[in-house]
Amino acid sequence: MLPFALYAALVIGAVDPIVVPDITVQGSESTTTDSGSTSEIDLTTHQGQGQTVAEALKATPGVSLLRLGARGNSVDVRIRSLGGSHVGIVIDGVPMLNTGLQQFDLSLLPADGIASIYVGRGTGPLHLPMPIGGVLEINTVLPTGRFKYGLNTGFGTQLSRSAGGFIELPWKKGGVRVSTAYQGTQGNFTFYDDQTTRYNASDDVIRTRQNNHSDRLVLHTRVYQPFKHAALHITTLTALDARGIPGPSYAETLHTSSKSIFQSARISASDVTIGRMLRLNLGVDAMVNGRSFSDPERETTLGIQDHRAWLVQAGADQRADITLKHVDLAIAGRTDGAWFHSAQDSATQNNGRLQTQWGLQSVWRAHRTTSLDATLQAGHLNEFSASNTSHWAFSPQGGVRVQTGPCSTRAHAGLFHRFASLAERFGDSAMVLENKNIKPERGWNADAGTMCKIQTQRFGRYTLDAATFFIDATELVRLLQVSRQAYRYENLGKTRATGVELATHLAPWSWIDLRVGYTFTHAVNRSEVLGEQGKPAATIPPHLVHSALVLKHRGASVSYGVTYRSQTTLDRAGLLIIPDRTQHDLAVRLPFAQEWAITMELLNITGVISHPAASGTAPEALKDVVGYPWPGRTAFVSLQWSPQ
Amino acid sequence: MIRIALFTSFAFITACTSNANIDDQPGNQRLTPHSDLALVLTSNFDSSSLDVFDPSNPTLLAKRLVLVSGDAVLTRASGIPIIIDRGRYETLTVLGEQLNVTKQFRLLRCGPHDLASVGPHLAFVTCYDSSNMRVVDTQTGETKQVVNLFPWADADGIPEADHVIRFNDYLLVTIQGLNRNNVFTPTAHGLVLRMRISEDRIAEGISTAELPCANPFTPWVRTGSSLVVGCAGFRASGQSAIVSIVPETLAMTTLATEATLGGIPHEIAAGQNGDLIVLISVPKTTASDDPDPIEAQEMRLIRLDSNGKIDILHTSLGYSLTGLAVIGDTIYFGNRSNDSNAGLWWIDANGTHGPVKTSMPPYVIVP
Repeated sequence: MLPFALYAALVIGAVDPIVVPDITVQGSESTTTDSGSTSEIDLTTHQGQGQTVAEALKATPGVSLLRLGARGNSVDVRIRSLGGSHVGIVIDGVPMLNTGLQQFDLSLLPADGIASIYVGRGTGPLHLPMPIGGVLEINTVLPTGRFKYGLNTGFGTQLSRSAGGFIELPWKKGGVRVSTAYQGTQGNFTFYDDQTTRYNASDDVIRTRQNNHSDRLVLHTRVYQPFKHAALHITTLTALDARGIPGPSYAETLHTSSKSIFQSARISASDVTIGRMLRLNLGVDAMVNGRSFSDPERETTLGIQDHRAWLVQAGADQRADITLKHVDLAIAGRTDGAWFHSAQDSATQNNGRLQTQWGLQSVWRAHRTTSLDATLQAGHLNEFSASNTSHWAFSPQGGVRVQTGPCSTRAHAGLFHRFASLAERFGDSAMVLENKNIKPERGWNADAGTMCKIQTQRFGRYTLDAATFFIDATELVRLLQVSRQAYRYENLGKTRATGVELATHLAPWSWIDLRVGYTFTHAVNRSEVLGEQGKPAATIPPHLVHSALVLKHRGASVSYGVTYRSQTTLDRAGLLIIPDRTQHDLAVRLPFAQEWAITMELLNITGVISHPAASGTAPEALKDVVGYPWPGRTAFVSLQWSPQ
Repeated sequence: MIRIALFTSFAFITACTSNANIDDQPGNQRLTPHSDLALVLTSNFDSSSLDVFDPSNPTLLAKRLVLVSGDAVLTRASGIPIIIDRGRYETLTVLGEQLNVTKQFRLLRCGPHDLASVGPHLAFVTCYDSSNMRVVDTQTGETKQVVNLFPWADADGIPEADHVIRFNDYLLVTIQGLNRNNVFTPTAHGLVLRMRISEDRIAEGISTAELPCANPFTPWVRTGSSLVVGCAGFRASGQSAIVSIVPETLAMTTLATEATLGGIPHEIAAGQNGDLIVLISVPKTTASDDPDPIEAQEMRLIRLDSNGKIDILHTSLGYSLTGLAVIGDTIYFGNRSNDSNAGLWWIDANGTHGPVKTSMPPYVIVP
């Protein structure tokens, strides 16, 4: 009905549409397939408010966020029902997806330092193996060549806290930008310990969650220097994360802790133009990802006193864009060399691999309004272990895009593959064995959608993005017990997901901004493990709605957000059922004294933390992830200083 | 007006959602749950659920009666079914006659692994992640007595007390003595601790005997006047065995070694005529291109008679068979394969039957 209403208005000439061109930042445009479903996140309502990239992704269709406890703790991102290694994250061109140790935590990155975020749903960059869920491409702010700086700090309930700042220095035509951000929480909040209260209301004791602490720091530098025929980028990113780990089920947090570090550096040259037809993007990067787990008091059954894993990866990517009369050709490739070290207590293991991915895409402009694209991705893997192995994988894709007035309609289908990560392939040197026969994850997906962007002088801005998708994936990698003492990653998982994604952005007047995102997901576990086949995918609500209304005037704003998650399950067998719930959030931003602003947030206004359990029993804790009860009402106040 | 119309249209369309219910598929409920039936704890190590079946007709199951964590086992104390959520979950779930949950309580900093009845509503609980053991009131969750086992701990300070059984006025506990600083490697042969029960308490004085094998792993099995336990060793190091123990004297006899068994014992049940029914895993061969003795090549269900003769009753590829019970002259076992063989199987005079689909892969079977 929505497109019809728009088209009706357009046809009768009531509005004067202006097609809004995609906003791109030099050297940071999306590199995903032309006909795929890609959302560009509008960051304007998230910046200057102490928010992170994770918050900015909330209203994106197809994206589901799972926060592990209180504000200030980490967030897991799922796209089209798939998370973990099935979602690729690329920051300033550096892929963070090969480690297999953990997903890069997007709540580490403050929204203020981000220039653009592209969410490829079911699609990804040409030169990277495509995870089945999708890829997030995040580009940080380019230095503008002006001297700028700013600071912010915040504090809230559960001892959550944040602090950050940035400075930009001009350097010739470009500049240098250095930014840092800290987030933390003590994580103590009330929750229902459902193991002790579940069956006896008299035991309905609200316990205080212990040791859900989290301290996270990120330091980012970016050097940008444009030249006549190219631009030079140097970026570094360091992220530190230290936090307690709660028990994997109902248990409260014990005295375990986890620490991780991401360090990446990249030198790249973008937009190297040769003649009129050829444009090159070249990059060389290195990444170190380390993770340790310790249990100093050894009070848990894991019995692991110290586990450390390091991944060092060096990659080089290149992309050439060739413009012909009716055809745009793109050839992109990336080669990664990776070394993986794993040590658990006294056992150690070292392994390496060389992975190369090529992509060839041609976009044929068949008509002024119509383009067809065909893509072939090829991946090759060579491993350096006791038995050198070599694998090939090929994934053809194709699609069409038709531009009609303010709307573009697209359809895309193809195959995908993902090689197992180093940790999945080689194990952890102790209880997780290597699997030399592990195969690439495979499958196919298809989607179709429409995006309309209308901007008029008289009637405001309107955007609609609607898509439907289908995913069928096999050979998904999953940990399996293979003896009493050992586990191994196997190609056990199968899933099939269909869904509908809708996102609207309405700004009829300059002072009002309404965003509504709705995702319907029907994701089915097709694993052959007894009791799992046919069950809904864990943690994915069939219906997810996020809406946010922002009223703004001269830098001041009031935003009210409502998030609805329908009933979902937390385990693969579909036994741990969490009922539907609605969360209300309020944020007020007030500027003062020209350079200052204060932001006050009240999250989970209704304070819902539990749901009724079986008849006659005490409530159970709400949670999105097993072991992480949902925090109650949370307040947070932050102060920003931007003297420019 | 047009602004309002457009705004309202967008808002209305996107606000229309419905609430969908997830079918929890409660399973076949034709069998009325009762604690006298045979119990099967099923698990995919993500979550676990309790099923029951009628031994006289194993195709008749009631499924998903109790939901617990993915690291749970099942036992009985004085006939009462109790689910032990192990490790971090640290919870005992006591079931009633209708297999309803009557009580559930935490045993913090214990890591309960097994329990045996000490007296009415009193259970001796082995704490795998502590150097202490506890006598717990299964009605209130209150710890009535703590027994210090630190003197039997290895260098990491934890003795890894595993399975416990009551035999007349004795309690016998197996001590694994695994080194947690080296991937749970056994540091020495396993131990058996014998305690005396007096007036529903553990009396002073603990007797000790060293097993002729490492890493005692199977639950205790009562065979007439003696008890039997199996050691898993460490990987395929040749330290596995099945050992018979006389509780009164702690005299031990090796019934079978890893070499004679052809594998590592995982579960043992008392069969007919003094036979033992044993689930063993056969390690993968240590060929030069696959130096991986930790992995199971296949699992075998065998009958070990009193003369040491072995009959192979059933085999299954991979680490696939878990859960073993003998009821009358029928042997019940679980198959956890990720294929159509998964489920409950049984062997009787008419041959091998199965699988009957349980709610998840079977893990523990309790008569």
